[in-house]
Amino acid sequence: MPSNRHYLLKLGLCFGFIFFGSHLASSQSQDTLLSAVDLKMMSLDQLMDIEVTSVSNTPVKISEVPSAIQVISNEEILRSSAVRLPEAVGLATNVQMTRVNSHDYGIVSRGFNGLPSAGGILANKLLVMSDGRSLYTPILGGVYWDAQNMILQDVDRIEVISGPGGTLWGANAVNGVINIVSKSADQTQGLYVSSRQGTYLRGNIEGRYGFKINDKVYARVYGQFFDQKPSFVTKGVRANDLWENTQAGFRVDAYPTEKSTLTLQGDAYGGTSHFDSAYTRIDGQNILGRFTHNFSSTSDLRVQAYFDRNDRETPNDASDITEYTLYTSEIDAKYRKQLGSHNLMIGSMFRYREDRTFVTPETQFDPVNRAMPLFSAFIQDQWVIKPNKLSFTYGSKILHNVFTGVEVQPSVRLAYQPSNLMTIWAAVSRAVRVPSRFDADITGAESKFEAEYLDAYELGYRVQATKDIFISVATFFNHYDQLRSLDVNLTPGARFPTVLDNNQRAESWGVEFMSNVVLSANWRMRLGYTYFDYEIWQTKPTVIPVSEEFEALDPEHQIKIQSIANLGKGWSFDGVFRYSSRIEVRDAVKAFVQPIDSYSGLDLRLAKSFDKLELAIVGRELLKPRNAYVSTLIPRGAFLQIKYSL
Amino acid sequence: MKSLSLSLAFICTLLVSSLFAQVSREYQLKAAFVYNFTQFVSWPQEAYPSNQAPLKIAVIGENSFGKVLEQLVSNELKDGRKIEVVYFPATVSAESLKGVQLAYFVQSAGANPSLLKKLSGYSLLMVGDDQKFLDNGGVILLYPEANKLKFKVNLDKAQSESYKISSKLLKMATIY
Repeated sequence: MPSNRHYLLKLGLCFGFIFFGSHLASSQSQDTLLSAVDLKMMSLDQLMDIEVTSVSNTPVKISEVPSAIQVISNEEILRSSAVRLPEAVGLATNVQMTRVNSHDYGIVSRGFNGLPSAGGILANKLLVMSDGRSLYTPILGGVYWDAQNMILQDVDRIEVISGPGGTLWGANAVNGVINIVSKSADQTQGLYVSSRQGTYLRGNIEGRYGFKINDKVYARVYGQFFDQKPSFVTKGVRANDLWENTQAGFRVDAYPTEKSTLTLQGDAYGGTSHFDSAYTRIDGQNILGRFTHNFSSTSDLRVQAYFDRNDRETPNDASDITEYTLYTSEIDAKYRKQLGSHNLMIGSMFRYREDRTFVTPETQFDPVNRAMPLFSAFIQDQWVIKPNKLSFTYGSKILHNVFTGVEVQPSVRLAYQPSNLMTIWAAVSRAVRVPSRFDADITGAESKFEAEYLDAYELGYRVQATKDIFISVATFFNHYDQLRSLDVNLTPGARFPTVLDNNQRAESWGVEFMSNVVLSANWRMRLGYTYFDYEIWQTKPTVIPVSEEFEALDPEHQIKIQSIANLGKGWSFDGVFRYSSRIEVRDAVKAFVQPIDSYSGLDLRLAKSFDKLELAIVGRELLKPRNAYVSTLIPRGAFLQIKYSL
Repeated sequence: MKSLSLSLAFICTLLVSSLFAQVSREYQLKAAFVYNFTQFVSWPQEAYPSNQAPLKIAVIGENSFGKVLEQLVSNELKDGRKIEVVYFPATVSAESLKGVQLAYFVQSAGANPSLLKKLSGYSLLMVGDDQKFLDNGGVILLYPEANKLKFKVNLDKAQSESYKISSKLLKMATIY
């Protein structure tokens, strides 16, 4: 076991950093605030469309619970170089986003991007939700980003919470939760058509039409098509990782009374992700209904249900699952009530999942098909001890899953506001990653895979330093127990030479710094820096050394900068810069894993808008055409976008 | 470690500047509405004390706007006039509001019918957010609906004053 002194020193440094600035910390999270520039540029029409999320006396929103939250707004997405949903998510400075090839992305927060060349699918500690629907797949654990698409124009915001969110969000929200929130139908009225054509992105065409059914009912329909060219292996040698996807969907929002909202939305998609001589055919459908009712300004109810089916078929790759089909049905209710100085939130959920896998000569899930019912309930109370000064939030989720039975995920959070400009917050939480099918069932009866546990300690502060500068700093110390390991199978006469087990432990620590800076009425920037370090050790001699890299291979330093500038006369000039430091690998595994060079990426966007029409030219990966993490290289590229909205 | 000390230095530099009071998102939005209202209403020459006089916006009651309203109107002109923001307590007398073109009554400051009544005929566009603001004699009410801000105009009251509200603004408003 590594020396504890070493950790204490590092942790001390992180926390010293906080205490130094603690007298300068902030009250309300910036995410709920608008910049002066935004406000000034908005017309009355637009103003009337903005949600007043923090009207006084209403209970605190989930997202305002003291935590390391960042919100990427619609404007920040549209003014970036992002084309795909995972690229928009990657704009948050508290996530690490790796573009693995032309269709896969590895997205994590607070590290543990397991062996990124595995296509990002080992990044199993981050929960991703889209309009309340879980995108986390139980087969391998993680998100199949090649199947996740949305018209970015209609994304309202992306909330990224780094740090455990198990108490509210449930299992697998270990290192973070991402909530993708689309705009309501009444916010997307009229016609929108866009076409992007370029060198690496071959083409993307999308359109949406939003209309009013009557004074209380609004609807939209949309369609989207992507055609992505391949990345390359070395100069002149292309990788065969073409990707294409077609998707269509709708959303209806009804306001039957002033106090209630009814939403019905659905999507259907189909596409193909190629890799080498194999390819995966993807198709999926989902439909979701949601009802919210405000009984009064101090109590409200939300009930949601959805059905989701997705299917991945990889016919000519015997080493992969040749076909995987997952059906999910979920019903979920949340109720919130303010009782004196207590904001109480309770909720419960039932999710029924069933999947089918297909046996190949090399892989067999045992059982082949599995039903995975999940029950969960949570209670959380935010006790406002002194209004606008001190509040204490405590609660727990309890869930029952088919792999490990009952799991409990409590958390306590304290927020202190020395002035109305700043908040200092601290939290201690436990989060659980329940086994995926891969963890639990791939080596069948020869191993028993348990849940992974995280105990997290966080300390952060937020400050509106001046009217134009907002700063947030979060530090954390994480302790992981029963982390996944790959072990030599010592069972006599064993069928599998190696099995998955829980024989690793880890500690990680880091700092997340984020700032929004308004430089002038026409220019603003988002800056982020993260420091991350970790140590993993093995609790049994049977663990194979590469188990470490299988779980985590993360850069120590990362920088992201987004610049948004209006040049006047309808011209705008925007940019995104990314940097991540070199990842060294231990001598013991050099034969299997290569060190990963440091990476700098720059994307620029120049646009001119004429009334209803906008033309943009976007250059991506303008520095060296290389990839931060993996073997296939993302080329320099440019595309032209023509956008028309009526 | 070098990067840590660098960020530390960076933060120090940023924090040297003075701190401003923080404003809720609700009042940020309300400030933007007020700024927009000034652009959709025209006041006659007589509503101003002089040709050079700025357009004055008064915030009455608790200042929930912080500096946001000032930031929004700084460097902006209305009919060639600068825009200025002044602050008064809820107990302000009607006389002190002479020469003010737009007054925002913060919450309960707008629940004072006798003050609002005295102010009619002042060419003063009275905006407020107290539920009973229009009943008490106000002109424009900002109110939340489905978590969004809407506004309601007391048309009779507005037409009895010398300023003119553009039809564009009225189209977006709910009429009282």
